[in-house]
Amino acid sequence: MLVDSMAYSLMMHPEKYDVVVTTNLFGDILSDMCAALVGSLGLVPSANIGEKYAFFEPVHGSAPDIAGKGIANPLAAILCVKMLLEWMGEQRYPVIDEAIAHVLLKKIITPDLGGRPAH
Amino acid sequence: MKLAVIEGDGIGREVIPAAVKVLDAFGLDFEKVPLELGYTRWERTGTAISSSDIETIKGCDAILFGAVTTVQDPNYKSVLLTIRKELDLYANIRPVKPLPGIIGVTGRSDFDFILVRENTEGLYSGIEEIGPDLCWTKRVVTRKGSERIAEYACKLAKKEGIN
Repeated sequence: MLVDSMAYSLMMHPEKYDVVVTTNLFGDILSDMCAALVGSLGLVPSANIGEKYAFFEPVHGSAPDIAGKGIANPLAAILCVKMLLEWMGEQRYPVIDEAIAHVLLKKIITPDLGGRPAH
Repeated sequence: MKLAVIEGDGIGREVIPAAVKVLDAFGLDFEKVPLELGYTRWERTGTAISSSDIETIKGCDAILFGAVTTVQDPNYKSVLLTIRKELDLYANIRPVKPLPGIIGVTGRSDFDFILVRENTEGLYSGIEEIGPDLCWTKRVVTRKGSERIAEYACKLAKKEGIN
């Protein structure tokens, strides 16, 4: 698929896809766009994988403006741990999704999602 | 299993300790190797990442990384680009899955896919020139780069049970 129609299709029919493989620049653009499907760049994890090593990082930056205020959302970093566990073959990784669903539905949330600061 | 834990700067120092607590709850046999890299380290020592850091990281199996603040200084060596290149991390993986109770721009929550992005070539080759009338960048697509990312995506699709 060409990238212009792919961008449109990912927004209109995201349910149609299971795995999408892209070149570097187009993937950079599409992956940030797809974070809007989830809700925010601040909520999504990423992995960088090689033949030998795997590197896991939240997509968000260091956000110096909110650092030290106890309001940073750890969900993306926690989802990185899930990706790490899955990569190393640990079968219990889905429990992280369950735990996240539990806190989100109980509204135990950071201010970016409408919650109050931790301290 | 050896895991390099790099909190980095800013909120990296808050979200990574939270994530490590989750990891610890699994009770797995991890040797955690903490490393201080990034802007804070650069301010203190003049180096964001050194060759001995790279060696330490290469002695690990995986890396859990927070975030680093990048500064516009020609002497500042990008931590992320250095690690990506040194470890030849060719596949960038971004799961796209809704979170319960969180509504994205389209308002729907019936999607669940994985974006696999080639991470070493294409238009980010760095082979470029800026002239008075012409600027160009070479878009590099190699057989090796294309095959390994396609193979990775196909293996992933198979693992996920997709036909």
